[in-house]
Amino acid sequence: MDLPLLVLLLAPFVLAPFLPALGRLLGAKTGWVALLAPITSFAAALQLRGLPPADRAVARVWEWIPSLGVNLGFTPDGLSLLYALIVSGVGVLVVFYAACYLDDHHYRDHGKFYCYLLLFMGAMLVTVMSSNLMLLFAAWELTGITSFLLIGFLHDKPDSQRGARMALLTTGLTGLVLLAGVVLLRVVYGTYDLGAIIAMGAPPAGSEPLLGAAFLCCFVGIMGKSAQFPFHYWLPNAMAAPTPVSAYLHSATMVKLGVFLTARLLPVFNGLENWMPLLAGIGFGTFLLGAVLALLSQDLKGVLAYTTVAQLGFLVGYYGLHTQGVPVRWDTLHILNHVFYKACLFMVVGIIDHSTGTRDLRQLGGLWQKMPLVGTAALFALAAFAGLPPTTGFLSKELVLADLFHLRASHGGGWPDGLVACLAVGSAINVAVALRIARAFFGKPTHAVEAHFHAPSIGLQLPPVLLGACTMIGGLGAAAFGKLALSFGNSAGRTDAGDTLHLWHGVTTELIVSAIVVAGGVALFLTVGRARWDKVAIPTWLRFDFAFDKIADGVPYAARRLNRALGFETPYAYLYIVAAVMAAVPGWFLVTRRDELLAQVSQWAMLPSAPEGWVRWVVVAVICAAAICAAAWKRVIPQLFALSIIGLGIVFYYVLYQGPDLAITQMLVESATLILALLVVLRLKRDGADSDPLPAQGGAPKTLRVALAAAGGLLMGGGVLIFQQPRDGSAGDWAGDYYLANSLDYAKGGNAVNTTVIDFRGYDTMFEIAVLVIATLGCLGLISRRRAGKPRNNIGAGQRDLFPVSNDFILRCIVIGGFAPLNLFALHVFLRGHNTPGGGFPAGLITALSLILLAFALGVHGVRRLVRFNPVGIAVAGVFLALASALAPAFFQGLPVLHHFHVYLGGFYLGGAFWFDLGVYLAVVGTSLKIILPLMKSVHGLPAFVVEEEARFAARGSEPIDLLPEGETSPRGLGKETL
Amino acid sequence: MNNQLEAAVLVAVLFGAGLYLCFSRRMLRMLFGFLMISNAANLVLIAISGDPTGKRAAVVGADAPAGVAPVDPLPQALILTAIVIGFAVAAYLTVLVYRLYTDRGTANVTTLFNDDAPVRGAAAEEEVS
Repeated sequence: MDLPLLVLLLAPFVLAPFLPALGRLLGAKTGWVALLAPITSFAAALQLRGLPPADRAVARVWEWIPSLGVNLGFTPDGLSLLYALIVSGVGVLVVFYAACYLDDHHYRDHGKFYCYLLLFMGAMLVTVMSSNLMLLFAAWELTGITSFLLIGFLHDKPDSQRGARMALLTTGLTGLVLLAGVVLLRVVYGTYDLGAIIAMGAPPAGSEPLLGAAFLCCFVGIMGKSAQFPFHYWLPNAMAAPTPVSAYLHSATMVKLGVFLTARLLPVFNGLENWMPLLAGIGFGTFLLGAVLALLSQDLKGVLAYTTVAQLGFLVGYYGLHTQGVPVRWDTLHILNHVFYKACLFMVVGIIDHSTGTRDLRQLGGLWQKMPLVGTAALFALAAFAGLPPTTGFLSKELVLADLFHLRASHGGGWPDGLVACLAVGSAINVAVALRIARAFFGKPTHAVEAHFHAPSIGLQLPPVLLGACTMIGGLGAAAFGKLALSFGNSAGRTDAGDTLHLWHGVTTELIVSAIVVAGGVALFLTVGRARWDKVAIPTWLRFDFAFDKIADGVPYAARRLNRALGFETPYAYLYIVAAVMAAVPGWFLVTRRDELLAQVSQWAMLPSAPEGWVRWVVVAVICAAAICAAAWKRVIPQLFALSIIGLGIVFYYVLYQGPDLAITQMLVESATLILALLVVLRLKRDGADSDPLPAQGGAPKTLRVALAAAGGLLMGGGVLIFQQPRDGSAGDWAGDYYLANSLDYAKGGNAVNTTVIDFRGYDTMFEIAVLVIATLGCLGLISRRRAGKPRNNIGAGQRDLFPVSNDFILRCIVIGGFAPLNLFALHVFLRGHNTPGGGFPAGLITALSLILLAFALGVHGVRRLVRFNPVGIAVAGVFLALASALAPAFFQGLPVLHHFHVYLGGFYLGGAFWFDLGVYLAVVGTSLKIILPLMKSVHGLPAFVVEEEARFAARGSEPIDLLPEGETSPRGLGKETL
Repeated sequence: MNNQLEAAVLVAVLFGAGLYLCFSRRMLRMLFGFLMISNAANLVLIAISGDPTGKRAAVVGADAPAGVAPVDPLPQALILTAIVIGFAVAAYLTVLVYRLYTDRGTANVTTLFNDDAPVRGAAAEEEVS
């Protein structure tokens, strides 16, 4: 039995991925290929049905997530097979119909369409076959997603967008409630397996409230999917989909999932006597509401959508009668009846739309003359819809009426009377609706029909005719049809083969009521009259979709309001909050634990005992003075001076802390940072933007700023005091001691800081240079992005060029003369780094700074002419060199990454660490140049001579650093040197 | 015993001054504040690595003076990495300030986040181009 089951489930999923590609080749003909999948599934379902029931009612389980009790379990019982046959059988008809319906002229992306359609079919099949509730839920949501794709298939139309959004949100959100219900069921029964849950029978004692909650949650899911009140609004809006989709999803299959789940869960919930009337009430109430809304609609597809809502209400309500003593026997018959006539009617509407170009009831008429075959099929289906003999619809209505009278007899009056009234009034309205639709076929062809009509192809007519014939054959062969319906069993798993259906029962109460209903419907249709039918419309207060749109649009609006209220549009205001929290939380800790802390601090000697400690105090005093000045001064250039004093003071401080590597690096980084800051400051100063008056509003009072800053500073200072630990060995082993002890042995280098950086903790360094390259690319993106609007960085009349190429002979001599020694020094720093302070990073900065110095004297372009390499290329090459030297040991000898080889060439170290450091060097050179040079060029604007330079660069085929101002073409091939 | 009070003072002043500058609405001052804070953060690390009085640099080898303890190399290695990354972030910030200025014509955040405020020099830019 595994084989047909797998074929049934997998056929659509296997074929679907190939369809988009096929669609590009075949266009509209893709449908004929897609037809393979439903046919295969249908055949497999038939074969499964042929197996003896005892064989197939066994669950097949494949493990999925055993720890959560979620598995791929399938039970091909009667109910599943009925739905599988409907899904695959109607699937065959719909794909066939779609292949004729969707032509190359009006539709695109056929491959995608059939792919979505098959995925939907596969999801449906999994949903109806699954025996595990979690799997059922997952597939249930998958049908929602695929239906979203199908409804929104014509995604450039606003209607489609609106309908798809509405369907997805409604079914998706109610689906989440269903998930809650499924989880609650697991809480009650301890398993997701439906068979096990039903086998348990009565729920564990005391779990009735939970079970009630589970029922409510599942019922919300059912109402959402099957478009029951108050979620009925989405179905008519989903009609924006192409008609084959409407016929498939919104009449025959997806919306029936709610009905299916009701049947599936009925054995679980039927003990809840208090809740089941809700099912009947909502169901039959929706039936009446849907009928009224259908009567008031003018668009044919809208009419059908509302009648579908009504019929789904009828089916859901039917299950609600179950606990009141009405056995569920004929549910399969009701479902088959609805599938036959509703899918048929949808396809007919598609044909009408296709051949006349309109679906408006007011403009249609005389279609019988034009297409008698379709007209006949439509009239059969309408008869079934209205419940007229001798169709399946008549059987269905009689059976429900019989059940209701039976209920009334056993219950007495009261609410069963209400249900009978609902059903009778709704059915009468249905008759009127059927007459309204039927009118489109009679009379003379209207102007609209005459003007646009073209005959539908025979292939298009075949599926609805087949379905229309089914309603008639099923009605005439009532006994056989009843037998077929019963053979699927019913939701409770019983099979009553004893009942035989007859079309004619003799004159019974049901028949009399039916006759009154039909008479009432005809009377209603005739009294209102044609002129007034053309004017009816659904009143706004019944249009729940408008309310839904308001809510759906209101959510982002409310979010924006909340956003604004929280101040996200001025994020800098958060700085105060962050600082306040940062000061308050640890500050609170300091205050509450003050006795302990004071006791600890009081043991320390606060003043230095050795003279070098006093030297540190002096340096600290200088730095502090500079820092306070930097904060207090208003003018930018003095601030920059103060900043550089701070930076150099810290260099000294590092020296005093015995960190020569730190001192070297800090000095070079400080220089590079200052150059960067200086470039921006110069530009802002030239434009006067640094001393712009600030807007009056929006700043915090100065006292608050000072107080917060002081609190933050004191906190950090206090933290430093607390975290200082005496190194007397009492705190255990120190990681640094390991590096010191093993630096020579393992890393073959004497400088423990350097070996830590490039060997012991080489990962840090590798990612650090990666960060450098990423920052460079970010800067590059910021600088060279083409501006929106007009270019702003031209130098205007009267504005100073910030970096005129210097003609100062002495400066040029010094810079050019110093270039080679500086780089020799860089080489020295690089090579000595392994054993003594130095290394790739400082060396790289020295090289980069020497080039930048050159740029100050010769101009950016002068440097770029001398140095023809691409800085980004150098940086990336550096990262890859470091990566390669890190990976080489792993690659060649299976040793851990960054396990450097140690190779010597005549006493000269050439091991892995050398190459790693070289990678760092290259990365630093490349990134520093690529950040600073373009910024230099960009800040001073593009005066005329730079545009010339740019042109010369273009002529030589090297990449320009910045973009030309828009609209200016570069004069090519200017030969004269300006430098 | 411990006598690094001066480190605590240094961190407190640098961090406080940096924070104060960050509270400014001028982007340049914020940038300066950021530079000071990142320096202060490095100083926290070096300060808690222990008192360096009477120690030598973390260089080992035959010619290292005997009898003098080296300082802890690990915090220094961490600071080395932090300095470099701080440089990368500072460079990005600097370029960002510059870019915001050239695009939006303002160097203070109030005007930047307030669409109604007049943009500086817009008229001047018009006549230039």
